[in-house]
Amino acid sequence: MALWVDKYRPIDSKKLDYHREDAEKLRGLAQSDDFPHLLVFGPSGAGKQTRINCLLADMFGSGVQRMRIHYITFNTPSNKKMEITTVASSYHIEVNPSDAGIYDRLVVMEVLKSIAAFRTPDDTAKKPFKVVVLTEVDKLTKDAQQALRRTMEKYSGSCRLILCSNSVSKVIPAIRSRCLNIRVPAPTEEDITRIVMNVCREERVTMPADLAKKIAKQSERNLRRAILMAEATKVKQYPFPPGANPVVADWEIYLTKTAEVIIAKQDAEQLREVRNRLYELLIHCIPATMIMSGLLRELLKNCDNQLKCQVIAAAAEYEHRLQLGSKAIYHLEAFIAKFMSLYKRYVDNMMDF
Amino acid sequence: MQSALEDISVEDLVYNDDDDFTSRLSKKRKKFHDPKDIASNSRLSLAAFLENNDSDFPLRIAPPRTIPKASFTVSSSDVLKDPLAYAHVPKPTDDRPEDDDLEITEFNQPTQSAEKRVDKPPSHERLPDFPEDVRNDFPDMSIRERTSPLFRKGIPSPLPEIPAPPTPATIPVRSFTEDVPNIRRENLTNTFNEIERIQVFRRQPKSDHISVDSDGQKLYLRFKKKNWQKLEHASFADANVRHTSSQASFHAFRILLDDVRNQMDVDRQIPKDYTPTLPVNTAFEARDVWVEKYRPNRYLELLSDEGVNRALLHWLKLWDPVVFNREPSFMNPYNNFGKRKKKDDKPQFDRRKYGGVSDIFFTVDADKRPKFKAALLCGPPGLGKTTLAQVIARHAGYEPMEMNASDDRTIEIFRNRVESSVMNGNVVSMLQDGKVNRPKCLIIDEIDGAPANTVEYLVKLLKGEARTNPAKKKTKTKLGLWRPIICICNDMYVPALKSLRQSTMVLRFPSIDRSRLVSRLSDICRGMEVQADSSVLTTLCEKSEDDIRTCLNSLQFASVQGKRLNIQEISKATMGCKDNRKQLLKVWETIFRLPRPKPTEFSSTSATDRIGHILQTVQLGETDKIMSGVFENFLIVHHKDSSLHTASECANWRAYTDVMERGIYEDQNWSLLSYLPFYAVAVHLHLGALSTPLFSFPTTHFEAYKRTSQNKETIAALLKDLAPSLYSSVKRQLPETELLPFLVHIIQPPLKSTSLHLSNHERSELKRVVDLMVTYGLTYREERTVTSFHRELLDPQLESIASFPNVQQCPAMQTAVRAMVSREVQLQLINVNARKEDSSTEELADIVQEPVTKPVVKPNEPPGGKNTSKLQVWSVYDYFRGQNPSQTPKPAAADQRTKIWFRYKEGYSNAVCRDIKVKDLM
Repeated sequence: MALWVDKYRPIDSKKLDYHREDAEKLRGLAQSDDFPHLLVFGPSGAGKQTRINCLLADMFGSGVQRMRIHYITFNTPSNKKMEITTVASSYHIEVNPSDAGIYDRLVVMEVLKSIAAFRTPDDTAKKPFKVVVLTEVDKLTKDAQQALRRTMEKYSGSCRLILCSNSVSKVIPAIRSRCLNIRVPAPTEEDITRIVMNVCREERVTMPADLAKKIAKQSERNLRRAILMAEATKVKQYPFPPGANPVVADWEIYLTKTAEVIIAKQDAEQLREVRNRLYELLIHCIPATMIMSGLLRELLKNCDNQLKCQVIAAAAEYEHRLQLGSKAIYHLEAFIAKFMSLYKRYVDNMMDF
Repeated sequence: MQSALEDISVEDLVYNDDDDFTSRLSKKRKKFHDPKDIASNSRLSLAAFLENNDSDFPLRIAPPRTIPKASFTVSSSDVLKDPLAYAHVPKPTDDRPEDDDLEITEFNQPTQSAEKRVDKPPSHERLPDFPEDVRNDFPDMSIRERTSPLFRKGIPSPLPEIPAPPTPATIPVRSFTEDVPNIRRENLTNTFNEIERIQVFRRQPKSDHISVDSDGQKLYLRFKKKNWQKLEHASFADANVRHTSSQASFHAFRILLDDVRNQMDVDRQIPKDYTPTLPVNTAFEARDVWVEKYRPNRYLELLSDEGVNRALLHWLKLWDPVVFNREPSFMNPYNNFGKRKKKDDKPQFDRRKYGGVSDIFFTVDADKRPKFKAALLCGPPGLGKTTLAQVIARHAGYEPMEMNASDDRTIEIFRNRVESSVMNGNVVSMLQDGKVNRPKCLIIDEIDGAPANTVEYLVKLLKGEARTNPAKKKTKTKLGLWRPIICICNDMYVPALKSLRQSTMVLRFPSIDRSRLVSRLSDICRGMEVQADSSVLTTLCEKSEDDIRTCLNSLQFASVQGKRLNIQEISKATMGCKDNRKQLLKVWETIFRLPRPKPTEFSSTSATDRIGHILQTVQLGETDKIMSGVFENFLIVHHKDSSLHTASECANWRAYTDVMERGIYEDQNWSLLSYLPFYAVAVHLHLGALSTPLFSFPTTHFEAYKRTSQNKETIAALLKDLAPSLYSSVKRQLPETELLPFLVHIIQPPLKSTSLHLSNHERSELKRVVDLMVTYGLTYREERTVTSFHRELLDPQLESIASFPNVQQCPAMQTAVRAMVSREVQLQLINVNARKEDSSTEELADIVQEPVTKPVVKPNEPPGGKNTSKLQVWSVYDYFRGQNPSQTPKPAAADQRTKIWFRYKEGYSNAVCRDIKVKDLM
């Protein structure tokens, strides 16, 4: 028994629901004898991994779905033993090097080397190489990316890489140029509405069209979130009453409330409370960039155009610093303090007029 | 003849400096003197000195080595303050040298005549204040008030304005007396004994007096008329003493001084612990070092905080019943030294009087020993901790036995020393045939540097768990700790001392009162002929942060140059400047506090100086902690501008330093390190205020970090048990933000608590939930809180990730429902496991004993799941009735492999009760 998200995930590229043209091209690629390294990128919930899996299935057949968990151990230079978990079939291996933190460079080299050492045992394999899927490439350190660019070429005889990442901006150009870049854009809201309705029909759940639209809107064009949301909403209240609202993740509500707190009052004490709320969000492993963008979106609702410019400029500055720095709380709070200062001055000016 | 001060004891003078006493004293004076004539504050007159051996005031005279110049110091405070209290004795006719230098420095010793002293064994000389002092050792009044006039009195005052008299070579006075046989010494002495009071004046008094000439300065000594006549009657051969206006060449005094000198010779023959009021350790070899020379020897000379002194002494006194077999002078430990008269008056313990020490430290155990058998003095160096311990131990009648870092402190040596000193439980009688066998008090100095096992041993000893050395088994006395131990350390937060802290009375040394330190320093300066006014000394104290040792060393260093010390030099010089780290709270205070404008011209309040000061402060400390402390506290302080501009700037600075920190720690770019303290500077310039709130230690960040890593571990735990196909999909699904918040909702449908009344729809929901939970490896874990409140928590604890405080979208399932789901999940797990084990066999016979109330999940409605179709649950009934529809008839051979699962649940009463025969089971 699985969640709807997993249950209705297409495993055949013919059954992909949207971006049909791209899917066709990928299928063509899989049918050819060889294919280049791929860099698949696109926003979260757009279906990158699904497409990768479909591609693998096209290439190697259903054998790729027989996966097992592999633990790879290696020694760090400081003689510390590290273990990372990988998922592998006999044709491919899926690694998330950023699990190893600052040792991701070692992971990249170790995995590629071990794959290169053992050629595919199965002579009847359709392709003379194995595929290494590296996920979250944008989280790789610069070191690891530098290590990757050489190994990619060196071991290209025995393996192909499929890199998966949310954004290419953090992937160094050297790697980008070595790969065929495949962008997977987020599905449109119409796509999402359609898919949600389809899933519900399969589940014999009557989904009102307006609720499906609401879900699609709320999900921010993230299909995974939309389907999870639909299931959660169904569990919460079914049959759906008219005008039912989709279930929203707790942290989003918390974020919205935090924005309200910021708007309500601007002084040091309030800032202290906001700080505690920010800490709470960070404790729940919400990525700082999501907090920043979520807050900005909520805060901008209360700004006029002139103020919006300043706020967005400030947000951009602090988001940049956030990337450069290491502890998110400082940057988030600096942004909030800046916003409070701007907003307070703006409100005071309005009062004067 | 009655002495004016005869009935006022020494102790009164020393301890009872209250108003009552002063008035009593002045009344007494009025009886004898015209109030106009006497100096108002003068407590003791010359007569007090001249009344020799039988009086309450033994004459103590410092050896002449201290003052090379001739000086005759009269020890009356007012007269002393007067620079003219300086009587030069003119040359007698036979051209004898007159430069007998005397300083009368102390007179608050208990009654001990010089003659008696000679008779006594020298050992007794070492404890002149014992045991008399013990009676009075808890002064109620501020020691500072009490001691300062005495100190001043005791200071020899070489007066630079007055040139030294021509000093020919000193001829021993003894020869003088031999050479002048015509003066009947005894007569004269007696006469002076009868003179009840001689007072020294600068102006000519109205009544009878004699004048004394000293290098052009004229002083007048006043006598009562009748005494004066007696004095005249004593008929000096060539004394030029005239009535009223005549100049007196003061031979009578010379003879007296000679007497004094004799006594001094006697004193010198006795090697004894010489303690004048200004502590001067003549016994110490390294007397050139001022720090040793002026180390206090008596309780009243201590400079350290009074409350701490008192607390320590009080604690030490609690040992009296065991050590000396006597009650301490205070019967009630809380009673302030018997001051309280009323019996029914509940004694109140005033912590402030005891240096902030809680009163539990002053309780005693069953053996009448104090509950805390050791004291731990801690504080920065140079505050007089070691001195305090030594002095107090001696004061309370112990023999201090010091162990410090210079000793070998391995556990064997330590144990031996401890056993020989403090583990002897015999009560010591203090006076055994005049010889005192004093109990030992172990002082363990610098214990923060001691090896850990030594400290452990000490802790065990304090707790009464320590074993004695097995070699020595003959100890027939009571084992355990029978003598006080005083430990001294600088840093009480050394990890090795952690256990020690809990079993000792911890006394933190506050910094020394600066005015007292300055006055002491100025006394010493006067004694050592260094010219330094109090502002110089204050500056010095400031620089050294009231470190006595540093102050004295710096002074001595300065004195070598022989110049007059001035403020500029002191404040510019690097000497006396301590480079130590400040405590974190102090650092934060420095950052958030504006420097107070100082009256002096050397105040450093310009922005540049402030920046420099802050940089210096921050750079010396642990930058990391300082910064996080500033960040955590900068929103607490007062913000002057309403638009939060300053706060925004400060936060901006913090973000900026964070970027730099990453450069430092990740890219190893250490040259950036020197820019970090500018954050503190920026905060200081933005938010510096005159008053600061109470700072809190920065814990939030660490707590957040802890909880974050906990949550990450939870996710890791969740991922660990997943099937491979699920693993990669869950991993990709950003569990924190997307999967888990919804998963928590999905597995908690609104269900009724009693499963018997579940509708079909609800049953299918339950089935779905159970399947999901099994798939994702979730269970509910029973947890009983302290209040025996029963809870069922998700395991792994996804709720701590997915749920936020005050965000209640859907009410969590009730405990009963969760318990029900939990049972179902366990059941399912057992089934799955059993199937795995028997997966190859054709036979599946799981017998699960289950409670009657358990809803029977029918296998006939698998809601669409692929893998769930394989999962089948049979209830006990079905099996026993043989009604399981899907079960094939068993072959006999398979019976051997039949497994019976029995789950025993404690406290669960509604188990199946049914008569079964064994053959039914076979």
